[in-house]
Amino acid sequence: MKALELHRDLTRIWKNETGWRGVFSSVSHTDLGKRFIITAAVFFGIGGVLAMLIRAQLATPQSAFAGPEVYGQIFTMHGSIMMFLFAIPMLEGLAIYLLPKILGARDLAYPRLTALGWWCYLFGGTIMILALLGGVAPDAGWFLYPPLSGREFTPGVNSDVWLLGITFVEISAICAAIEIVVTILKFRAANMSLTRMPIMAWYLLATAGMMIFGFPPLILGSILLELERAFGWPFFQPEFGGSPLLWQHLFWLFGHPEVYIIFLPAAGALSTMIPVMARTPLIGYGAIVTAVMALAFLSFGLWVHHMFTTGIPHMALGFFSAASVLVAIPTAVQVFAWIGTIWAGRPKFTLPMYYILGFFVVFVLGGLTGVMLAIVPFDQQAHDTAFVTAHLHYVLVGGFVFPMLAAAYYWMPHATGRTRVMRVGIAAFWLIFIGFNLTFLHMHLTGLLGMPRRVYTYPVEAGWTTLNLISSVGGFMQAFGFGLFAIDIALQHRLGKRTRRDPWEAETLEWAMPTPPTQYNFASLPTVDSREPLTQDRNLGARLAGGKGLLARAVDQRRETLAVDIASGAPEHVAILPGPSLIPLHTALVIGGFFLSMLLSLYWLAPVFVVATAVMVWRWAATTGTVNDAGPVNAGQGLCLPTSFDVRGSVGYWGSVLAVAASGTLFASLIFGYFFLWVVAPNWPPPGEFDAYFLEPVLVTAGALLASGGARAGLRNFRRAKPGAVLAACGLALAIAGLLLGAIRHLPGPAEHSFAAVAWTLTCYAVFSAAVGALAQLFIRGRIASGHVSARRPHECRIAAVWSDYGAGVAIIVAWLLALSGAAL
Amino acid sequence: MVSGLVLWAVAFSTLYALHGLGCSSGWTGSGTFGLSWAKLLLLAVWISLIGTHCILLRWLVRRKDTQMERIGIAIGWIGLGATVVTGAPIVVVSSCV
Repeated sequence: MKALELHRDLTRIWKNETGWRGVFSSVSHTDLGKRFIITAAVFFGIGGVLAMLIRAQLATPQSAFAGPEVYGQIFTMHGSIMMFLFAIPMLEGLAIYLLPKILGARDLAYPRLTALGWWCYLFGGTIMILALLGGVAPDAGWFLYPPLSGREFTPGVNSDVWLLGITFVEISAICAAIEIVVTILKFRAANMSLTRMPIMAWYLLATAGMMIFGFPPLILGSILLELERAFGWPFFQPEFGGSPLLWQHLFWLFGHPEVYIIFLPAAGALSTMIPVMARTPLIGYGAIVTAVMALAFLSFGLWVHHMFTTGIPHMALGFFSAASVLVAIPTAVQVFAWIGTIWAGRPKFTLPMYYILGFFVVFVLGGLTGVMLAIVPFDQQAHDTAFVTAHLHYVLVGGFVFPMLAAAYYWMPHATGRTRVMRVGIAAFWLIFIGFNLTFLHMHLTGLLGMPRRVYTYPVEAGWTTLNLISSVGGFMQAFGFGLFAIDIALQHRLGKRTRRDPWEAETLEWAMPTPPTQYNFASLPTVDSREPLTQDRNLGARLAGGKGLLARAVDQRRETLAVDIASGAPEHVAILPGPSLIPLHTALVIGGFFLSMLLSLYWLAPVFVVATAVMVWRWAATTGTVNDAGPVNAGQGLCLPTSFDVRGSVGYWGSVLAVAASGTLFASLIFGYFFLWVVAPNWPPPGEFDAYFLEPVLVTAGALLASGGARAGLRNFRRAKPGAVLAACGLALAIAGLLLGAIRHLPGPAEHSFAAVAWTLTCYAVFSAAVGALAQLFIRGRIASGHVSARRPHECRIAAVWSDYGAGVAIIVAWLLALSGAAL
Repeated sequence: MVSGLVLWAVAFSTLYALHGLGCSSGWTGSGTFGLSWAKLLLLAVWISLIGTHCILLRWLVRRKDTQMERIGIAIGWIGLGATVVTGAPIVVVSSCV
């Protein structure tokens, strides 16, 4: 096929629909990555304006600019926007835009899931901003500690806005995390083994893995606090056996890994840019991969260092203090590897390099104060003071904003195909760098002089006036810097000169494509035999554009990309991806309907949207697959590969495994909460008599085993798949009946005591999980009947088994846990 | 590849959970060597976990041909070091004060 004809055909296959429908139905990772980045930048602007309001208020003592109620909303929304609506979505956007390009693929593993993630993010963020405009924004601090955020002290909807809005946005984060992990593991260039992956892919793999295990505790905490606020289930009220410390544990189980979730992708961008700017290979690839993995794990052992002043025994403080100090080592390994790379190379002092050097100064200072705060006696002195505010800004702005500004300049020529037009960017850098340090450097001193965080005013006699005024001047200087940066980017986008492909002479695959990129990225897919494919073959981009790689074909309107073996990168199958669809938008709308009905206290309406969501998910799954046995296809270069319809380890299977892992983490967090309250909270055991019961858990176990047996029968022998699916669904229905019967007959009302509240929550979770499993099996029965699942295409049976086995397992655990708890209470 | 750190995560969670359970259950009475039962239990579990790390490391170092295997060994060492350091307060800090 001639190159031009190939491009024309691929453009036709991969293009968006026309007009407004195209805007709503796009599933292109390039479009959605840009949308994430632009939306996050808009939220950053809003968060920045709020920061300026904070600085205006604190510039002078006894300021009449804002009262305590408004100020509470301003600082709460500033923190919440920057963490949840800017930092995480920005890193998601970067990953969504870049990943397939650096891995040599045409799109992400689940294009429609990417679109769902963006719509959820947009709607959740919009709810929060509308609440701010309406004067009912959250006002209990970005970590929303109860009892302040509880119904007694925040009777309005302010806390509900945070709990529901943020949970809505978190759905987007979980979607993105699953997407990123599966894409990295399966959608790579041929022969790109794990150790040949670009370093950025390792960082994003670690980050996404952390998101899958880090976000569920926060989602659980939000659900529990919303249940307490809406229905009076007393999880956090000590007088009913609850504990506000449970919220702190759940929040910081997410909150501390969150810092590294934000830092790692930025560090990945640094590890990508620094070798290019220094014109030498990255020093210590293996050491960096090791350090990244160490950070991904160790960062989960630090959460209690946010709770050093809550009265936890000294030995436990010691555990977390030691882990907090330890985590500095893998961070330092990376910093030294970057310094070594610059030292060994011939660095170019271009604009990204300004921000990289700015990163070194700011982030290292933030890291050092982090080590100070890891030491318990110091933390107990500095806790909740402006010192901590200064520290966290040094870490997050140094560790995320500076690298992202560098990344913006580095990858702008890729996204726009244009170069910078003026030297506005240099002025913007100096304003941001000087302004930042002016704002926060001596804020450490303000904190050490005793100024608490989150206060709306302070007396003249406190002696903090000059320091605060300087901080405010620095803050406004930064704001001008960010304004200039935005102008510079807009100028480049509109007026920049066309640039050649790969203007930085970089080595990674995203530069082996036309810039700006086409919707299909590569006309044909690369085969790699090193970590720096462009160093070995400068002409790779032209060869791929000429159709000299794999899958240089345009067949049957199918969107095709290569899926590989996870470890070796050997070509495994041809993945067929879905095209434009309105289903993600519709699904996000019904999920939004659920959150809005909860927010507006229309609780009777919420179940309607739950059912509607289930219908949408069913529709979503039903629009994939084929009823024909296609057989192997010619992938080029003598390779004959099966399609994703015919293989066992399809991306759908891996996505389900990861989704179940996320759900399992939420379940494990709930079990942790149950035992935490039992062991630590006051007013236990609950009043009344409880006995162990056995009939219902036996019923649940029988149903769950029936479900597992039915699913297994279908997996072993396809002829039994249809009756097996029905048996599995019936078994799970029996388990649901047993769970509900046990709860109704033996548990007290959920509002009476935290034991009952957690027990009912466990029951609801088990019923939900079993119901999802039953629906998955009923879906399989329908798919067999419609011919989408056959003996040659049985992989959907495996996917359904993942969900039904999980539902069955959870049902058994919950049933016996609650039944036997009665004997122990 | 990440088995060393997975074992650290198990070790860290186990020690923290046992500490919480021991203190809330009042295992502060004097056991042997003048140490409380809580501290004795934590010490025993910590030492066994360190031993488990050593066994894992011996298993990991059998194969070091590929870069992935070498990274796995390095992570095994990190896991061992992390369990030693994060568990060290058991030796030097009183259990339930």
